[in-house]
Amino acid sequence: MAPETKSREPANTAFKQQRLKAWQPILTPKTVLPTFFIVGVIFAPLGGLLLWASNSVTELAIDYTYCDSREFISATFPQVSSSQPDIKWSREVVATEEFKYTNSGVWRCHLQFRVPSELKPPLFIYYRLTNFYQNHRSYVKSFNANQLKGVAVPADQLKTSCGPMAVNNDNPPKIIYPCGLIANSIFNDTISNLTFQQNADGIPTNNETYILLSKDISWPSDRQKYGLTSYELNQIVPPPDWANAYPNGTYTADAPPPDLSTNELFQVWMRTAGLPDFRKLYSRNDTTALQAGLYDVSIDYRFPVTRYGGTKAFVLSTVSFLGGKNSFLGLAYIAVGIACVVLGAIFTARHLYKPRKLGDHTYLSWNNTQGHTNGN
Amino acid sequence: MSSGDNSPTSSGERIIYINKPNTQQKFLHNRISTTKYNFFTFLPKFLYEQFSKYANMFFLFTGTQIPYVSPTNPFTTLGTLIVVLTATAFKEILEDYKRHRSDSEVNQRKCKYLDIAAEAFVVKEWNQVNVGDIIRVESGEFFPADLILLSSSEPEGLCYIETSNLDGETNLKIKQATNDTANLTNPEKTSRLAGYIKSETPNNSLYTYDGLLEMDAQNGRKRVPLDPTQLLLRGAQLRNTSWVYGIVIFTGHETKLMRNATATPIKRTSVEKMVNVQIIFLFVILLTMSLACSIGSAVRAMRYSGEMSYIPLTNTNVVTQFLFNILTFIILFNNLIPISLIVTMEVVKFQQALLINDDLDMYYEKTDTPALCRTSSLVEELGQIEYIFSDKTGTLTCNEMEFKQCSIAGIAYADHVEEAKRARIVDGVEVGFHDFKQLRENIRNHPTGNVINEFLSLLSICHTVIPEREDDNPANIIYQASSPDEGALVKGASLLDYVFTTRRPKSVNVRINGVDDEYEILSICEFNSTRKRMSTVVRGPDGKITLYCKGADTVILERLGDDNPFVEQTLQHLEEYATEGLRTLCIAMREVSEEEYRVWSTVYEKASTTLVNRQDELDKAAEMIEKNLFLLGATAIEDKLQDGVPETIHTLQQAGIKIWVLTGDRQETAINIGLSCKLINEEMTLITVNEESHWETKEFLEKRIHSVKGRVNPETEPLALVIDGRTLGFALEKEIEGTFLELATMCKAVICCRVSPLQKALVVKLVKRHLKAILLAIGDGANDVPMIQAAHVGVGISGLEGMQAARSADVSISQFRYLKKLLLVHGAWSYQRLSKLILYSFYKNITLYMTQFWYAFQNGFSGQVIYESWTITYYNVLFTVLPPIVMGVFDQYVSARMLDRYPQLYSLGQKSEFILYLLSIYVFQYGLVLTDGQLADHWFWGTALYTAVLATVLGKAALITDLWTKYTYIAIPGSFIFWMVFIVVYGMVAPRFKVSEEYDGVIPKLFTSPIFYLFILVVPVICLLRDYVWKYVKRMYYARAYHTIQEIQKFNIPDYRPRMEQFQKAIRKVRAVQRLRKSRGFAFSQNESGQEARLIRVYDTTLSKPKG
Repeated sequence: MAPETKSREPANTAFKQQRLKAWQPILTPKTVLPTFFIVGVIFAPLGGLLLWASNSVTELAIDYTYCDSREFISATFPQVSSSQPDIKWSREVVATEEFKYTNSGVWRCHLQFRVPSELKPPLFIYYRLTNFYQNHRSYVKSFNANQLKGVAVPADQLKTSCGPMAVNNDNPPKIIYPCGLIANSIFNDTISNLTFQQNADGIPTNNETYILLSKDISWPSDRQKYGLTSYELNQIVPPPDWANAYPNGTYTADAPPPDLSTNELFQVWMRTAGLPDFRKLYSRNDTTALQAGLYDVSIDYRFPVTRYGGTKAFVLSTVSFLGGKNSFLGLAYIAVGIACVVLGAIFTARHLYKPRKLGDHTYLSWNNTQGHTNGN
Repeated sequence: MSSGDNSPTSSGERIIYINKPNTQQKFLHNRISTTKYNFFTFLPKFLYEQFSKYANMFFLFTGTQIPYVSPTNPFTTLGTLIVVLTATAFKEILEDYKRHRSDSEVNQRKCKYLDIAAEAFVVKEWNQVNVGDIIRVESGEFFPADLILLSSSEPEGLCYIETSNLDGETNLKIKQATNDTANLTNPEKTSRLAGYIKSETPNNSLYTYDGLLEMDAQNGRKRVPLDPTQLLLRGAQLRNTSWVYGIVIFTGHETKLMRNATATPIKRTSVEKMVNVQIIFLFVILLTMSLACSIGSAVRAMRYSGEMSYIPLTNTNVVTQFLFNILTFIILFNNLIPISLIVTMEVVKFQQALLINDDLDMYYEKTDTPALCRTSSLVEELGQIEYIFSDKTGTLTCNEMEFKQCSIAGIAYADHVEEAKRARIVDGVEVGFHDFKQLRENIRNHPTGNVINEFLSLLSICHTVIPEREDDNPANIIYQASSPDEGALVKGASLLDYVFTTRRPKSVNVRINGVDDEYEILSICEFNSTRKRMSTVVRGPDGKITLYCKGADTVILERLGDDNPFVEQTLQHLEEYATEGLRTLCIAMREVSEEEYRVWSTVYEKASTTLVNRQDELDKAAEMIEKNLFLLGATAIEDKLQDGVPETIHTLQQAGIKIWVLTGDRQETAINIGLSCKLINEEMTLITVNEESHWETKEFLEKRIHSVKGRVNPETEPLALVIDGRTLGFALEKEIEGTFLELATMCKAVICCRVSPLQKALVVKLVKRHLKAILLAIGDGANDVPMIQAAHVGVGISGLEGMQAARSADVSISQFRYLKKLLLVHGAWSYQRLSKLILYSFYKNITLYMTQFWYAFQNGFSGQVIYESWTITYYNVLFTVLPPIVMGVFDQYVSARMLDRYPQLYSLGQKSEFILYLLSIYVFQYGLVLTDGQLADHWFWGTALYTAVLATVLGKAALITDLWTKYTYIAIPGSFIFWMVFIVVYGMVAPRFKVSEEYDGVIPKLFTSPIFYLFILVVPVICLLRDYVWKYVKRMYYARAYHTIQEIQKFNIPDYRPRMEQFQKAIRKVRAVQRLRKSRGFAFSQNESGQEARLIRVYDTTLSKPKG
């Protein structure tokens, strides 16, 4: 043996010898029982707070799905007893903008509702859709970001992103702008401002208007994604479902394509919802409080929700520091808190009544010659 | 074994010219290579191997994108696959490089070859050796290639070789050069040798050889036939011979050794197999989920297509659409099959293997050998071993014999005597031992001094040992013995100043207390297995003729004369020696009158010249003189066990592992070793099976099984089975093997003696075939290689000269006792760690993808993903990759010390319920049902949900981790923090580069929303509360052994029980001594060639040997 050969002795380090300093957590009564109580003590009040915050949000939802056909509108107005027959509605056919092109009017729903107490700003108007699959795989990806940005994307490049909603059936085909399924199926009901009919005491007012604007309703980041299109007018047509709003279903100088960069309703719609029941912000008022009393809102009924097998609703809501109304989270916290306290109590009782000695050798199965603790 | 490899070479022979270049024929070089790849074959071979794995194929398939069908980003699936393959490739390269290094170590060994021009031997490396070279090999060296022996330092071209690497037989074998070349004892003469060898072509038969040496002699050509007697095989070692010359005939991969090397079988571990089963199971789930979703999709398409008019469905026909949908969902859910699991497992196992290599407790300082885990994929098997098959020599024992004790004239002596065992008088009878100092004293002063003198003279005269003096230190005599027992006796005698110095053909010289005496050797009656004794007739310096005889107690006692005063005590001592597992011999003598000798020697002469049945005739002749013996005493030789063997065996047995010893030794020796290493003890009932035929074996085994089954209390009376090689041959026949196995598995210990290497493998295979147990085979020699390869886990003993076993083993350790730590600590840990790792990997993927599955119900079964594609990819490769690895490397469910103290914990691994139990929890645990999130958009919600899933999954990891090292902190909370930071940066930056554009604008919204934080706090708490409670309840009210031991460890509770147990054991042992069964091994392990006597007569150690 050469004396200089390097020894192959392994290094004596904590890592290699697996002697790293370590903490060995063991679930003993000493640690587990306090944990239960601590979690309970933190979660239950937190849940209470959440629930309180959620309840401090006033939310009024009026389902107007069948406003065009049936004599019924459901409403939820949590702070007022549901028997209060304050929700009224009427409908009429009106000649809106598109009457010029279609020669047929649309239904306008008038909803009348009572606001029981003054609502502090900001105040939000949402529309709520159910059974609408904005999260469908073919739907979600059916848009072209460049086109929305304003780039005049040629037809062949649109086919992959916008699929069947890229070009129309003309010969030669014209580009649909904005292309894609999302844009085509935009929610196109118009929700008006609120009209103050009576104050809280039932005294008629002089039809003051509570102004709601569709501004600052999209995510700030989204506004940069849209621009004025650089297509020539004759290259493009509106999506099929938009046709009624344009003369002969085409864009003209008088009826130009919309400026998407300022059309926040469009931007909101384009941010697809994750679940088939969702709501989207329509308009808001950040400054004026809404006095208690009776209000009117009129909605031009265009979005064919019954055909989609769903419903739509008008939602008026305030927010708390936590956002919108959401009692689930609060309840979940309370439930967890209570469950922990109950479990803690049960285990404490059990532990006091019949404690188990930790690390007792007699529990080792091989020390019990009878072997009754073996197996299983 | 003799199924020659009939390689179709042109002529069926090769011509090797001696001392001439052999360039006309292309012979293979002597370089060996056991590597799997080389530079060029790596890529194709590696890819082929990887893609023959189903999982990889599957991922390649899901990675290939079909437009419209794939729901995810095309690169995300492929990306993972590439990462996985790169990691695997890296590991393969590393392992192959190690093989390459060990090859080149062998290839670069030095040897001496004859340079004809210089007429001298010159050093060169093994890989430079060519066919036709004349090589000089010195004592203790290995043969670099297959050689034909030309000459040696010993008379008549004799040499001893040890072939334990080839066939596992530890006794030395004799090879002899042909008479025509034996005189070539210097380089000058040798380089003048001319001619050629006509040799057979390379084949794998170890025991046959045919060749012809045609050499130039004075009177023209001379043809000399060559046979296996001249063949020196690569892998064998030259022993007791200072040098030999040999001519190279086969090199490298053409040597018989390499021809015998079968490709190492690929071993798959049971955990791996189970993982495969579970992957298939997951695949079925995946298919079911995909099918369910596709059906959902079809139903929607048919019933609700009107409602979905804002999504015009493509007008392909329903069936095509359905099939496409299945594809879509398979791709969507593909990560349910944990691609990262395989690579994580590889990484973790690799690291675990490194930890085994780095364990100081398994490092043997004397030989500077650490443990070496060669097949890292098998580490967790070490934690599930149920049977150990062990070789004896070199594994349990050191193959060193030591003369420990003797009984002379009824007085017991020992080389070291503990205080408690010192001789004293109890009840008027002397018990205990005297030491050897007392022995020397007694020769002079004790009444039995005369007997002692004869005893020691016998030891130094009656044997077949050859003394050798070292050149530089003539006073130092080395005893060359083909039987290590005899060597030990002669050496023992020499330490007591009865020094055997010289052997001549007709006499030996012994220096007794400094006085040199010459004894004339008149006759030698050799040892063989029927006689079980050897005797020598000598004429002492005083002219008297004496018969010295030593042998097994049974045969000696039969031949004693009437006047034998020491029989009683000697027997008692023999009994004691046997209990301690010592190998004993009885020593007896008789004075023979001139007359009697004269008569007998003619009979003997006649017998030795008989041509028919000479052996029988000789035995009969010996019988005539070996009678009326006078018993001098007995010797006890310790077949030295390796350190810590009995303790290790005891601990392993406590751990519920059954140990079978498979040895080539004879039965008595094997039982002896079994006793001395505590494999069998006095309480056990030995079942000895020695039958002559198939039917007898069958009948015996069946009868035994019947009686064993009929026993009242099987626990209190453990069984041990001893079976010899021949009977084993019958027992392994198809018809009986079942019966044999049934009996064998009922026994606590099994010893198979006189088994061939092939039988060793057959036994292992038998158990492997019929039982679902995991088997480990441990051995040190090449004879153990088949067994090592057949077992699930092969362990080789490394550090000694023979590395054959270590090289083909999965793990090599240098001492048997390291097996304890290897199995009980490393094995148990590995198994625990990998179980956790695997289950956790399944858990985390199932959790993530079940959310995806539920989501399908809410998006019209369209195959939309909740999470952004790249983020899904990162899930497995970034955010949840560390916890399993850290778990796999650092988790210790119980510390090493505890595992050592409570070997019973090992049985956790043997019953694989652990995995099942955890899995049941996990499957119930996916229920992360979608809760809320109505306000935010799809990706906001997806990201929040992803965060919650991650928090849950990491929380689960925290719950199941038993030991938190700093790495655990990095891995578990670290991963979460990493995700939070990552998503902020990534979500802000990536969309600008057109990657993950879904995140555009999400992050500021998400991180300013209190709902997000509240959500990700409560979800994991809800999901894990059940686990937490469950874990607590289990520990408190349904505690298992490991729970308790964790507590003992944590709170450092002293436990006296193990020591108590040992105390009780000791008491039991004392009680059991009375029940001792008489089974004494006797100490002979030499050749039965029948030519020992002739051989030793060839030697004259007074002559100087040729220098070579």
